[in-house]
Amino acid sequence: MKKRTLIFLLIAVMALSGALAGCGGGQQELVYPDYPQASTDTESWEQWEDYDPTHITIDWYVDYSSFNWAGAESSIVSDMIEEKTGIKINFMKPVTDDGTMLNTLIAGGKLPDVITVLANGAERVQLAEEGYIYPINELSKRWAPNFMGRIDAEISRYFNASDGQLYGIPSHFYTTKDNESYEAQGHELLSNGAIVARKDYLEAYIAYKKSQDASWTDVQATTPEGFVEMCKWVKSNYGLSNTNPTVCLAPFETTNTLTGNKAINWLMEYFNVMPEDAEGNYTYQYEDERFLEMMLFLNELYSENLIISNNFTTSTSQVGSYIQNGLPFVCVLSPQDYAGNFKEWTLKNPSAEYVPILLTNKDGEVPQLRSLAGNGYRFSMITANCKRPDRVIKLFDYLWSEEGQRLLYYGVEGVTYTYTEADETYPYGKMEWTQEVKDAFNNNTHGAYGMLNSFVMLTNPMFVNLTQEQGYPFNNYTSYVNYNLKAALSEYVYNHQILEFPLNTTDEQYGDMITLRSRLYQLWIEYIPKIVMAKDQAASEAMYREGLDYADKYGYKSLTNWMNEAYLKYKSDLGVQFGYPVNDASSGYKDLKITSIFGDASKYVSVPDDIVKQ
Amino acid sequence: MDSKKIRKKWTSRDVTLLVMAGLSVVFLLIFAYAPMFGVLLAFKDGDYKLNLLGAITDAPWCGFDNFKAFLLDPNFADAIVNTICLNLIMLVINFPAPILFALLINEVRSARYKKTVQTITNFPHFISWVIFGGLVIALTDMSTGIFNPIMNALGLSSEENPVNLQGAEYFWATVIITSLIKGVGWGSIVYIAAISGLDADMYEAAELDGANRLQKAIYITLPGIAPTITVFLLLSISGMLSNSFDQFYILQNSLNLSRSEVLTTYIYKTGLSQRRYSYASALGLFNSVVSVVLLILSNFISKRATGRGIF
Repeated sequence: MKKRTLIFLLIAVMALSGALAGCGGGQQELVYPDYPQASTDTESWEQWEDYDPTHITIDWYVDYSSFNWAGAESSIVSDMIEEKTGIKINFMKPVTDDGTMLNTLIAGGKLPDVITVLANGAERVQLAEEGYIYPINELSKRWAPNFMGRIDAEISRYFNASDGQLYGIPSHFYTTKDNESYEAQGHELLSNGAIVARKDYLEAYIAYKKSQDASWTDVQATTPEGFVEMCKWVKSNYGLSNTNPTVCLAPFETTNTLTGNKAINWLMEYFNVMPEDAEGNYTYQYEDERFLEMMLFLNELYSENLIISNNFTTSTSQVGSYIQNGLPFVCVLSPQDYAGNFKEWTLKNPSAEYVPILLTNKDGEVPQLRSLAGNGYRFSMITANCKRPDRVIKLFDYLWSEEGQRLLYYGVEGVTYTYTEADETYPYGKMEWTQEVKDAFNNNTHGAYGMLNSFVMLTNPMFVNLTQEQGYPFNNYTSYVNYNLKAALSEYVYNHQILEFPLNTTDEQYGDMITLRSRLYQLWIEYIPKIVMAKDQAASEAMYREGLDYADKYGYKSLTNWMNEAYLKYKSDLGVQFGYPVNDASSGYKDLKITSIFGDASKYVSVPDDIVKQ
Repeated sequence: MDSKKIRKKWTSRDVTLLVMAGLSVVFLLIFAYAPMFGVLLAFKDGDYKLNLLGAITDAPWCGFDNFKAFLLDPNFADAIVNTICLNLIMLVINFPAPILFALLINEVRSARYKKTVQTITNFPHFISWVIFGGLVIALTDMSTGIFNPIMNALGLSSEENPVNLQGAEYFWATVIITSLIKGVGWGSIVYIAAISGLDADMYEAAELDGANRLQKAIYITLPGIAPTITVFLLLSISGMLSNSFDQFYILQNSLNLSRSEVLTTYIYKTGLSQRRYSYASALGLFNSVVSVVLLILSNFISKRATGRGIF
């Protein structure tokens, strides 16, 4: 009997241990393997075969469900990466963007060799601070001694952890140097979001109004009142039903707690909902009266059946399908997310293409739209579980180098592009596609090459812009459609990077504040549909006040104060007083005028004849 | 007599059975008992920790703070109301539906027709909720789905006042109907099996006594399958705080959240998505305790009322 009990207990203990082993890997001591250090004489990746010529495969988790690099398995880019570094990459990604897969990997102690997370997510800091990530500085000191020299000091300043170490590399970090070079080339950055409208409806409305009143100008349609009237006319005149998304907002995804809703974010820019007050303090935009005005405007659109309730239940693919079928008159979203859908519609209906338009608040204040320039989008880190940190840091070094960036975007020199040496105007050189690739673009077979920035984790988009004569990667028909969905608004675009200030990660409140920020985003994601769909303006305002009360209970004021401290410090470090052009007398904002609902239509770029429209 | 002498010698069949049963025990130990260690998290301040094992062993104790936190959380109130109300409604509608369906199928004379109906009704069970839910979402899309035109044609809605079937007010109905479509056929299998095991002599005797088909169903079939019904009813009652996670998660959107957030989705979101491990553990423990209490209580009542129970 005793023996049986013993066996049973043994099994139970083994089972318990096994299960618990799967519940967490524990905080790991960073171990630096004893591989020979690299020399500074040659590039680190050129030395990978010196002490270990075997090719290895690493796992790279990209916490982004839409990540899709067609050339990951086999393409001239992935083959070249392996040839240069001896590393083949096995990519993994989640099904949804709610963070569950990343959290499970962390909690289960199963982090792969490399992970890419959101640059502004709490995990980035926590993982680094708690010993789950190798510091880039230490790895490069040993095995990639030239790497740190390639990383702009602004990146280190922005992302360094409390111990002064850099724990990863961001993508989409726009450095001052690059921004200045781009400006010197005479180019302007596009906005991130935009309001776009069907040109045929818009022109018909303008013609109608002018036929009624010759003194009428389309600028009058840029006010909230004029905009509603225009949408009502289009709906009525073209017989758009109450199930048609006449005004279509970006999807409201319940799991998106890191950025809120994109349509609301972009509309706040059009309505000039101030992210900074006149004294230069950081503000909580949801308490701004302009935000309420914007919500009441949306409520009116809903009451008129211009926005339909379905808009709050649609997914990205459904919105894409609406666009592809030309259902909305107006869309408020990030056009680049739907570039393929806009292209499909434009192909079928060139005269009914979507064009960017302007909208203001009731006071007619000129909007300020944030540019695409940002302080990092994704952040790639080498985890403590990495089997060969000595090799992976060389991979990072290679991909981050100009040679690597050229490969990621342009492919292989001589095969897919020709290279002209760098000069003062083109600091990274100038690239041009070979005829083979141009033909591939026209035949829509270019995906097989595996380039074109699909490898988003370590890319610098300004590298691409700065190496093109037109300052924008015009490759195929889609790229022209995409560009023209925003180009006319570039006059109203500002650099938003100061407002993307680094938070104080060493503060003991950091984790709580990031969580609070997510909860507040979630709160508004739940409240905004209720505010928009309220039965009348009074009920809408009451719902807004209720939401703001909840936000107050959650503690938005303490969050705002905490963020303001970081904001003021960042501005002080940069030696600037304001981050928002409206407050800055020297920004030239006061000279800005709206002369047409279309913005500056001269910025449109015609599609050259050698680009096949497909 | 020496007890060793009367001990039966083990046959290979006994060993096979023991191994098979042993595997189940090991499975339960690993996946049901060992994780119970994690219950400790419910009484610790382990939210937002990265190292889950470390949180269980090293995080400070916080008593019932996590339980107080969710009891005061308005989101929890919504989730518990939705969970209980919807389960009660489903107990009234979805629980008897497979029984009724099994009774009806039992009355079908044509074997071919019977098999066809069973195949058609069983098929949706084998489609995952991800696909099934996706189809439902596509069909009920207000702008491009086919339901609105059909409802307009039937006079249930109009072009001027279209209905958004994905909204909060229709969510419970959507859940009930989709559960019925997906589950009636499959759920009826066990009842059909129970009916087929009933003594045919009783039906013949009833026929001789002049009983019609309805009377036979009420007085022979239903009492015959009552033990099976009792078991499933008790299990349904004990699952009063549970819902099909996949179904709710797929059909959930920001518009219907006030009606679609149930305990299972709420625990998932707070635990795995927001890393509030302690908070979610407390919720899970609360859920389990209430379920056990409900099971014991309903079993007790059933035994008292009908003499039948599951333990």
